[in-house]
Amino acid sequence: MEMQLTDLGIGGKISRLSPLKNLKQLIEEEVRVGVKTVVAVGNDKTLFQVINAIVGRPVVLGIVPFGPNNTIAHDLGINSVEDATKTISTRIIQKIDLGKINNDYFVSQATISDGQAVIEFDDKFAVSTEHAGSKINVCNLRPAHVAAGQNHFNPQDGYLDLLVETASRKGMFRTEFAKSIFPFKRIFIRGPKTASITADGGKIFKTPVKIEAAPQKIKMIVSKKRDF
Amino acid sequence: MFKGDEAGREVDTVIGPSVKVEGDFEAAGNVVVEGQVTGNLKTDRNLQVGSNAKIFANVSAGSANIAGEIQGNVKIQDSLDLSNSARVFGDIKCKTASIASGAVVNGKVQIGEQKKSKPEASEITSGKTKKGKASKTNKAAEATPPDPLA
Repeated sequence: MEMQLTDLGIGGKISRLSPLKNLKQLIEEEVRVGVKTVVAVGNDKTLFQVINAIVGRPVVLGIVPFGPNNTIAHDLGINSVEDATKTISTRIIQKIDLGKINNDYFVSQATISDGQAVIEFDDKFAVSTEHAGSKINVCNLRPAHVAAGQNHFNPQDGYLDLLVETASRKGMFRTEFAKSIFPFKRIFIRGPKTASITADGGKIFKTPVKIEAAPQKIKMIVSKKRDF
Repeated sequence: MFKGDEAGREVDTVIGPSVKVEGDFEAAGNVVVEGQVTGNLKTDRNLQVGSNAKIFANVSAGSANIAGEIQGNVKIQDSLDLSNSARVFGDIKCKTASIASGAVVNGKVQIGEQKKSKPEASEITSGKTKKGKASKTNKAAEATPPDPLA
């Protein structure tokens, strides 16, 4: 991969992460010496850590998916290392919204493990589900299983979307899910019991939590194949 | 709560089956209800209420297509379409309406212009004058005692 990047004329310092290296400190030092682009090589968890280290700093983020669990790169239209290196060399930069869960940021989605939850929208109204098996996601990017073409899941509109999927009909081979979609700026999630919420596959939070949209919070190098 | 984005695009809200919304729900985009809403429901755009939806709320929308049940008053700025499975228990106010055979409406219905037309100006003047004169004459007649010799 390093050779591919070099062939495309992309060079730079390579820092390898280890349990002994503090990512935030590392990025802080690099920004201080003038680094303007950070390329995260790894999976969703790596990307979650890098985003939380660079947020609020004047750097552009590029991503190269590597290893298993790379749904975020896929959602951004980057499906392989080749895609990623071409994307970085093309260098299309866009300002992207992030989601903020308590004090951490996520770019793709936060998933509630237990499908039963009460979601409060700015003290105005609350949304709850009757089915225990519901899937509840807070999305910034469009999830891979949701068809494109809707005016939701746009990471540049200043909103996040709450996606609630409940089993509506069980076929012989598959279950169909009915979708509820609520665009929002800020919500509070609590449950009848404590539930876990995983943000970008990188960190687990326990309810109650506050989630809000953080518009145009980060600059990213994006693929031509993105759907926003 | 829900506004259009910076580009002016409005974002739709979909309330699916098995989902309950309680409180003052307000949206600037289109709203589709297939589940249950309790409280108040307001949108400036189109509201679609599915046949299995149940709304226990006062509803206000730009236009509406209703196939489910609403228990509350319905105020629509433009057109209202009630399908044959629609059940509305409350007053309806709208500009134009299409009500299918079989739809249930239990309440006062106001369709179209809410202002009554007034009589033309000349009629008012003549009417007032005549009435005024008549009353004055009557008053004068009442004031003057009848001449017993006449």
